[in-house]
Amino acid sequence: MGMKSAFGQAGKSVERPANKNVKNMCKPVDKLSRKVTLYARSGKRSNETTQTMSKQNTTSASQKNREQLEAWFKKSQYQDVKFWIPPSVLASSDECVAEVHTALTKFEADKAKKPANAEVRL
Amino acid sequence: MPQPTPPAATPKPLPPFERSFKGAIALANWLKHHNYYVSNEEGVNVSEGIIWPAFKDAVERYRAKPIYLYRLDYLYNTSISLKAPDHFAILIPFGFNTCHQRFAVCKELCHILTDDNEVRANDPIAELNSALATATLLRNAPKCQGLSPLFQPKTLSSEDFCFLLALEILIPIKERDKIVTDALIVGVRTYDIALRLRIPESLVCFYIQSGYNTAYKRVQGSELG
Repeated sequence: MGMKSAFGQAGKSVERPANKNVKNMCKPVDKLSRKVTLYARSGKRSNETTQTMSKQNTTSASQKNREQLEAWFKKSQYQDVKFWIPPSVLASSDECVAEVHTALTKFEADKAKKPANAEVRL
Repeated sequence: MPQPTPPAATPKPLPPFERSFKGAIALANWLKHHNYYVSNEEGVNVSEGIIWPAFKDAVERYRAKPIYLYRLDYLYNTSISLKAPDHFAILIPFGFNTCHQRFAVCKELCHILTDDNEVRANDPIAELNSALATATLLRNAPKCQGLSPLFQPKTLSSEDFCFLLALEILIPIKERDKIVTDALIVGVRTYDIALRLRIPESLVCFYIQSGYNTAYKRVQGSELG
């Protein structure tokens, strides 16, 4: 027996219900695709399109973060930089770049920053 | 009237060293015996103040530039070491517990002490990926077949070398057999061992599961032979 699709029996032509939002079809693809809900062959709803869009946005955001971090370092007074990430941290490269970029930018902008040298005993 | 404290002696210049597991063992041993205050005669280097300020003061005198430590509440997972023309800055997450702070600061001090122009990094993305690769390597230590790449006789990145150097500094030699026996035979929890040594539990796990002690003894044995 064929798999049942969201619109009926697989293999049979299915008449789509009249689309009341025809105007949407004229919208640019990026705006339109956010509104589309895909149905997998199993009949389960899928947010595949939304996820793809979101992934693309994340990718471009992370690329931007990388470029900004590189540019920040080039402009800064620093001659060398090193990092340590504990093995218990399961962050991705993108997440680490975003965190470091934000932290270094804030650190440089913070004119009132004071070292904790005297407070620390390790 | 109390006499002013005489200025501490400038630590001796570092001997030539290779960036390898063997080199980390040799350099840590040298540091312990040459005014760097990372240990005393008993080899107990877990007491408070041994990493900061004692080791920091020695590295500061050696580099002749101040080292500033910042604990930042907008940093969460990563510690950072920065070299400026007139100072060094170590940035650690405010949320790191004492064990993580000790290890992070010790490892960054090892960078300040040992990094030269040869390993100077001006690509933060590459350095961050290198730090992530090391974290993954340590996390996957039990899954590694054979000797961990960190223990093989080859030149390591500055990242991996300073990780091993910090571990060598922070784990007292006389405790090492006991750590393995406690964990594998007696059944002491790795958390309790971490608490005793005051290093992150994940590194205790790495120490036990990677065969670190065996690799260490092999290097020591080859030195004696």
